[in-house]
Amino acid sequence: MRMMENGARRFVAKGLFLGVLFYAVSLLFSALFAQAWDWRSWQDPRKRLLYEPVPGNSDIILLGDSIWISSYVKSEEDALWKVLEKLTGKRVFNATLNGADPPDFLNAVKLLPKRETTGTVVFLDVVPTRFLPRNYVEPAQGNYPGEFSGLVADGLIRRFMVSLRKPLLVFDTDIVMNCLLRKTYFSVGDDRPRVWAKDGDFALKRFQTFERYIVDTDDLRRMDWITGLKTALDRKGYRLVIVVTPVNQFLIREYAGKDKAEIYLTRISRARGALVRFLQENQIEYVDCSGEADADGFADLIHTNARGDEKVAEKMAGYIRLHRQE
Amino acid sequence: MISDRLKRVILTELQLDEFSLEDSTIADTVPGWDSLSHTRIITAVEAEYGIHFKTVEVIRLKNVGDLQALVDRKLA
Amino acid sequence: MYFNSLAFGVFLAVVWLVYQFTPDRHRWLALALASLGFYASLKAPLLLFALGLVAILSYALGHCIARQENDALKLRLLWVGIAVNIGVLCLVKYLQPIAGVLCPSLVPAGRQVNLFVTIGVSYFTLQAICYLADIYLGRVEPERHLGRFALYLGFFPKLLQGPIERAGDLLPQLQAPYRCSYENMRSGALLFAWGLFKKTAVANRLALYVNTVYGDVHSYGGVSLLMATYMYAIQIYADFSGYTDMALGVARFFNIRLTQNFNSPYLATSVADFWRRWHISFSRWILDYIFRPLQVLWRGGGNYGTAAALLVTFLFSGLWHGVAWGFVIWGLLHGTYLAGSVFYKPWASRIAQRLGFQNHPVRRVVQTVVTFHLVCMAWIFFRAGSVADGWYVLTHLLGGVGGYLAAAFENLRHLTQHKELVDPILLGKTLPRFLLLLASLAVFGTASLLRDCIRIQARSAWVRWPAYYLLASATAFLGVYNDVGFVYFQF
Repeated sequence: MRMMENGARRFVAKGLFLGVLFYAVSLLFSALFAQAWDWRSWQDPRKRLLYEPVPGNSDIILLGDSIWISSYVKSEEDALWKVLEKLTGKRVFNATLNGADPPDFLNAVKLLPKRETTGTVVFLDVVPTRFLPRNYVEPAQGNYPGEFSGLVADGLIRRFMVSLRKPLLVFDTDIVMNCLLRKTYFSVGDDRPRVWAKDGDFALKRFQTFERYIVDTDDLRRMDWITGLKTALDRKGYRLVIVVTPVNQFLIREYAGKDKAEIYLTRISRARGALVRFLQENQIEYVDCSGEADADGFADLIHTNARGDEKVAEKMAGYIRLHRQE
Repeated sequence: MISDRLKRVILTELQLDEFSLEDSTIADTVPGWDSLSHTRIITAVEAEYGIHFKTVEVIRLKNVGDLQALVDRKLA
Repeated sequence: MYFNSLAFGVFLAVVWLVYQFTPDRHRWLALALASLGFYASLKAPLLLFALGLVAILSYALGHCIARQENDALKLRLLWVGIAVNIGVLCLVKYLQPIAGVLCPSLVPAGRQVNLFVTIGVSYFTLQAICYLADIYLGRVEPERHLGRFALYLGFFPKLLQGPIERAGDLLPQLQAPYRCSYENMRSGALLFAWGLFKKTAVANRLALYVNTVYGDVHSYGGVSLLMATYMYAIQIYADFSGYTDMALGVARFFNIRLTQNFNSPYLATSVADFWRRWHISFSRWILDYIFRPLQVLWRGGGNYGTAAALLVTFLFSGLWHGVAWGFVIWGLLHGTYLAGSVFYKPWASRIAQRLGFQNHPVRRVVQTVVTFHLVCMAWIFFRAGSVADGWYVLTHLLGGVGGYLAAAFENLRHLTQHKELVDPILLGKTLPRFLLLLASLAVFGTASLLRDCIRIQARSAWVRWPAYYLLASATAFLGVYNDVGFVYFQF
């Protein structure tokens, strides 16, 4: 420091001072904000993982993607996590994220607190269509790289930056904007109770996109990310239970050409079979909900509505009851 | 020293009646002498003296004095 | 290493500290090594090799040209220098696309051609050419010190996106001894912060909207296409000038003043004026080293010669930006605008003079608006994913706009209740997101206007510090930091 010139020394000192001052002021504003506002209740209940620390006393954690974010129910009371809570009487935490892929699941696991006793079940939804090859490349970092990089980090410097950034609520654009305008998260726009066959061409358009992106082959995509997930969860003291979710075969028969429908159904059935075999071979627990939902339980090809969700939740509750003793 | 003949050519092209052109005068200081009129002036000078400049020679010109020197060289 | 990344912040701090403790005669080495490391962080060894090659050859040729007495040989050496640099530029820039066409098996499928990575080469090769040309024209003496010359080419703040520095401007600064100036540090930091704001809060935020529309032009109507085009005009200005401000700010930490690259370009009253305000170092380069020589060469053709020279110059400009028809069309459009003005301008000025509104303020406003729209029209092709897309946008820009405006006026008070009026503007995103965009633009606009009125550096700390805090907060709150948008499919 002594060797540096006057100007340089002055700049470094002033810069550090201002940096600390600005940080302190921002911290103060954030603390005031958190005190004055119940900001958590204004946020999107479907993104809880991103702004709420996972409670250390949850009994059940739901991990997954759009299939479990309950887009097509009337209100949060009918959401899967609430229904499951009612059926089992246990504390359920919703850690699902819309459009999540395996890299996002692994990131989500990093956010779970370590448990001393193994008991908490982590349900993960896996739909057999996940293993049908498609002709686009899924991003290797997952679909929430920005969000997760602000929450979990590898490396000392990054972890230090994340821990500095986290308390500054006031700079979290999503959190603040959600508090400015009260948003309705259920029964608004496309996210409302709907049944695929009685709702215009919403489901048809989605299915056509599916047909455009699915590759015409009998191969199946890799499943080993599931074992990776199990290892990560085991290390933290959680039990991974895969829930094989149902596919809307009624829609396929209705919207695909006759021959095509048979091909799709065969491939999906093979994918399901391969998944179950994989899970059995790797001693991963699972609940098979294929065929649980009837024609009115679906909003489109793979997403269930309240009716379908309830059937799946019942099966999951049945699993919980069965394994209560363990 | 800028010859009267050269001065006349330049001033005619720029439609100026009177302007002091010295060795050190540069284009920017003469009203109306921009890149468009520059090529017109060059062409007019070539026509007046019956000479031809190479592109490189024109680009090298920094001021009116250089232009006069170039003309003198071509005539010699 | 992008300027707006954590890694760069750490890099800059380390380099600056080392620079403070380095003795004067070795300071060039510190910067040169830093620049080398910076370029190496892009993980493209071909580029380092190109920089080294260009530096050594241009250094040698510079001395040969200066020492050569024979005029004809002197010129020939200059041409060799130009050819070498253009050759390196073409090889690096066009190698991958050409290889992809000639031997597809050599180019691994799906590997992105990192346009950003090749841009560094575009800049230092042009800078080397202008160095050699300036030596030839006797404007500058060749640099004796090879290391300092390499630094002149590869100085890390200006390495990736310019500005293109003239030898007469930068070399003397690199030769001068360094005394840390608190004023330079302060103004540099402020400039960097402002550039960061422009890039993350304005450009990245606009990109969210522009990418949505330009990524799928057929799904959007006239109003959306029009909005996205205007947004892109602001986006590219904020992006490029933001990056340049960051570069200039960083250079100031080392007492180096790089040239201003932008000067309120959208206030231009003609396309020619626009090019005097946009990417100034580049347009001066193409003006001095492509347009002027061609114009003189083709002086026999009078105005037509000049027009042709303009077209060729801007064709080069288009190709320099990238090997794609979109860039070529963009360049040719600007060339056409300028070539047209060669014929149009004298006639228009004469009429204006005769009618007496030569200097009328309304005329200026009209000229500015017309120029802005001509430039926007060219941006369409610069941005569109393909020429077909660009053509689609151009031909559908005004579709339904009249009807939309009429409907909007009628329902002005209940605008938010009419989904069909609000959707084309929100472009499928939420209202809060749009409000954030408006906030960014408001801060951008206000600060730009106030910048010249309120000389912030001259005020007391009571004014300065809250202003700094506001800027930092605006950058943190309004900035978009994750990669804009993602494509996911759950069907």
